[in-house]
Amino acid sequence: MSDSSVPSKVQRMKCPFCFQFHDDSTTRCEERDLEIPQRYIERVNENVPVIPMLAIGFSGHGKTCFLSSLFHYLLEGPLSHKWPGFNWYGLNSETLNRVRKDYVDRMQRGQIPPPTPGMFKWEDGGPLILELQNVPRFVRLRFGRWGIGRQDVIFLFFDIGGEACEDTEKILKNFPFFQEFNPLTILIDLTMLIKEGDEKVSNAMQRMHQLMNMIYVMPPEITRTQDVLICYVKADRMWGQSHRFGPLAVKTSTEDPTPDKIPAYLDEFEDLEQNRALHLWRVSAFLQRAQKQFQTSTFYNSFSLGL
Amino acid sequence: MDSVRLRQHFYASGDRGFASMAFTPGLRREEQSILEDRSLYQLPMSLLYSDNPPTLVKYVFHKIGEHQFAVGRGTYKGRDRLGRPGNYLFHNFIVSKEDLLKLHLNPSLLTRFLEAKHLFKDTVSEGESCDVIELATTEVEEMVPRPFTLDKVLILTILQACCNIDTLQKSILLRGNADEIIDFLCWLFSLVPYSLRESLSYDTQSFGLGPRNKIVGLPDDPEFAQSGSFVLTLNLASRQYQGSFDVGATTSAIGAIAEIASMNGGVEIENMHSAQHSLVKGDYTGFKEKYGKAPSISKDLIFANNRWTMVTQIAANSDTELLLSLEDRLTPEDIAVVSPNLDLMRLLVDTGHRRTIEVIAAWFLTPENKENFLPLLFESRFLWEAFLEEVKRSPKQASVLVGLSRVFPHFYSIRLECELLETLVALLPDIKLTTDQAQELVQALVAFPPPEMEGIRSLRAYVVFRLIGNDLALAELLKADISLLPREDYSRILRGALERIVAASGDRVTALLALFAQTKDKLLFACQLLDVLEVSTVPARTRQGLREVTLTLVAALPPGELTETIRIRAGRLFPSPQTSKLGTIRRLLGPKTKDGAN
Repeated sequence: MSDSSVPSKVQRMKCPFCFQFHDDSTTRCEERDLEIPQRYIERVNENVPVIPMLAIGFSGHGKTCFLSSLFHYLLEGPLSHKWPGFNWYGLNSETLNRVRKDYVDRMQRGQIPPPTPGMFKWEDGGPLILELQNVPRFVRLRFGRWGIGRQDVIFLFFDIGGEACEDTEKILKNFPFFQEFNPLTILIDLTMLIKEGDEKVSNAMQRMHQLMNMIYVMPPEITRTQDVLICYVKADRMWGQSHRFGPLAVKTSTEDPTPDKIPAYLDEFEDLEQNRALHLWRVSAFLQRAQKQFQTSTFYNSFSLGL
Repeated sequence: MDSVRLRQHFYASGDRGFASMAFTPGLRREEQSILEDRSLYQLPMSLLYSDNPPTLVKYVFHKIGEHQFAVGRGTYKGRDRLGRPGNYLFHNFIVSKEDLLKLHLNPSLLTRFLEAKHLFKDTVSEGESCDVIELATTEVEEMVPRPFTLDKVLILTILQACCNIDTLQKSILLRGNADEIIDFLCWLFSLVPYSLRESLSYDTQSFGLGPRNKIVGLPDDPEFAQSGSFVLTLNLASRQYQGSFDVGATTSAIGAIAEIASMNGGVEIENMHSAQHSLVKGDYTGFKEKYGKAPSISKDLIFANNRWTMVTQIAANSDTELLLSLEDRLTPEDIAVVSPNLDLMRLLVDTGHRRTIEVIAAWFLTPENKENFLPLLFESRFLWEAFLEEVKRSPKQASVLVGLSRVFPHFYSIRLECELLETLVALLPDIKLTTDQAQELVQALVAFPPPEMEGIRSLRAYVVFRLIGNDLALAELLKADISLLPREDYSRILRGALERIVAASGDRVTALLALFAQTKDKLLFACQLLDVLEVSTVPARTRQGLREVTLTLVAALPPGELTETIRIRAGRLFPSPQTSKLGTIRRLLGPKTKDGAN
């Protein structure tokens, strides 16, 4: 049973696989033929928020490495020291197995992950379902104020191949519930685009336009309610090349903030100077399109293989 | 030259990751999408990062829409342009259903041919030309499936798994290398019906890909250990298998196929399926050619599995030769199918073959209206006799005689009437006819030409009397010589007649005398008369009125033991007046005392 409209008192649980609202007693998603983890059901009923995560980008632009790095950081990194009470749980055995086997262990061994299949493989068990506890978040505090508090959050991580991102039709075919991803993450390897341009494999600007076009044809009624995070990956390849990458060439601090320092930490990323990097490549149209299409646009850079 | 046309499609990793790198012009985007979705290759992690990963090939088969199929080969290529392991190339061939039918819907056969002719490629350049490839059907057909030697129980298990795979909702797992698996599949496909072949998708190396296909393969290597639930797991090298499922009783068809296959009869089975397919598709000429070449066991199977279709086609094509070859197996249901073709019906009747005649006779008694076919009964003596025998065995189906009676006058002969009447007499105790049916039959009987022989007159009158039982019929019956009837009937009729006479209000004496004179068995007459009078509720006065005539008739009986018995009975029924007075006085006086005084 499912109902995608506003859930009634009875239909409270949003399925992590099909994103339809199921009856509380439902334990299986019939559409995807997958068991809904019991712990997920319990936690959702305890009003733990659920955030689906999807990173899109061309093939080889580091989506899987990005996830591997993120998981490695969550599982093996210092957050449990920096963030009081921080912990993580895989809400089903598939998540625990795959996070370790397919992402973290590979990363620890220094192995580049194989290409991710273009079509999302539901038979692997669906997305990775992780609960992170005591995550610093902007929450409403007492007396109506907003500030950093701690909250448990369930993340649904979807990993998709770059081929799917070659056109919007493929993305929407993979994820008919595309509007659920908020924020949407777009990973761009500027260095690769330039390299391909230099090798005359493809034109960097054309590829950026292709990316822009992909965004453009996404249904605006969906994207207008979404935030987008645009992340320039493989930052280490840009460091020290300010003539090419402008502010992106600056190696920023990798110090993990304590919860009280998170607001300042996040403010850094609102530095619009990063956007100038795009102007360097005369693809301001991309920036404008992103800003127009999405509710908010924020720019980051990352170095997934940095440990 | 009959040929098979194949379009091509390459899926490999290029500058933009995996994509459809080259394909035959005209391959639509939706088709490419399906091919891309099914062109997957994964290796276990332990082998993925090995310095010398295996270069295993895999073969796939699946549908593209309703009318096309893909037969493909995936080759592992090591690392991609970014140094990532897991690079591979798929070369798919797209074939229409119509063309695959020319190859008996056996995709593995095509795969083996493509391999043998080195038509599968390992490399591709983006956008390279991919022309349609045309193959001569005869060339491909030379790739005869190599027989697999398996015991019958295993073959049966495999066939049952295949035939019920949709119900069981799990895949079949084959352990072996790609060549072993494709050889096995080539043989397996020749055993299963055509209707199943197009849905038996397979992937000979499906590690990490889930149950996307009906048949999945994995190398027999611990590295490729994979959890999962399968309806059947078969190791091709050792022939060990595991699987338990319950699909009910084995059909005779599957059992027979397993039997033939266990004796390396794969070719015969393939021919059988091919013949069946032609038959089902209405290609009667093709069917006949293949059926003619099939061994008798295959013919039996084809007929058993396609009985209705086959008989219908035989009738539609007036195929006398095939019909006669099946004579020994025909049933009334088959005759029903053939019956619209009167020429074939006559052919069967004219054979005079006893079994065929009996089957046709039995068919006449099936519920559907047979009036148009009743004249056939008069074209063959054997059929007529068999029909009457059949009717005698089935009194509840006697209504068929009503219809017969309508056409009978056109074919009337004394002999035929005699035989018909004898049949009716035999049926009479149990015959089931409505009043209207009985009336119609009687009307037909009385309309027959006047009987030339007394026996027929008696029979006819008797049957009429038994069917409608009124006084008029009785009167007619009494005019006939009922002694010609069977004794039991004769006795019954006599009793009935006597009861009617005794109960009648008219001149009973004359009627009794007339009947007595007519009756040959006087002793039987007398016994029956006494039976009637002894139990009759006729008033004493009436009984007394019959006293004289009864005693006169009894006195006229020939001497003998039975006559004595009859006379004693008559004496008791009608005691003399003196005797009756003495009897009355005795009763008034009461019983005698010991000394004789009262």
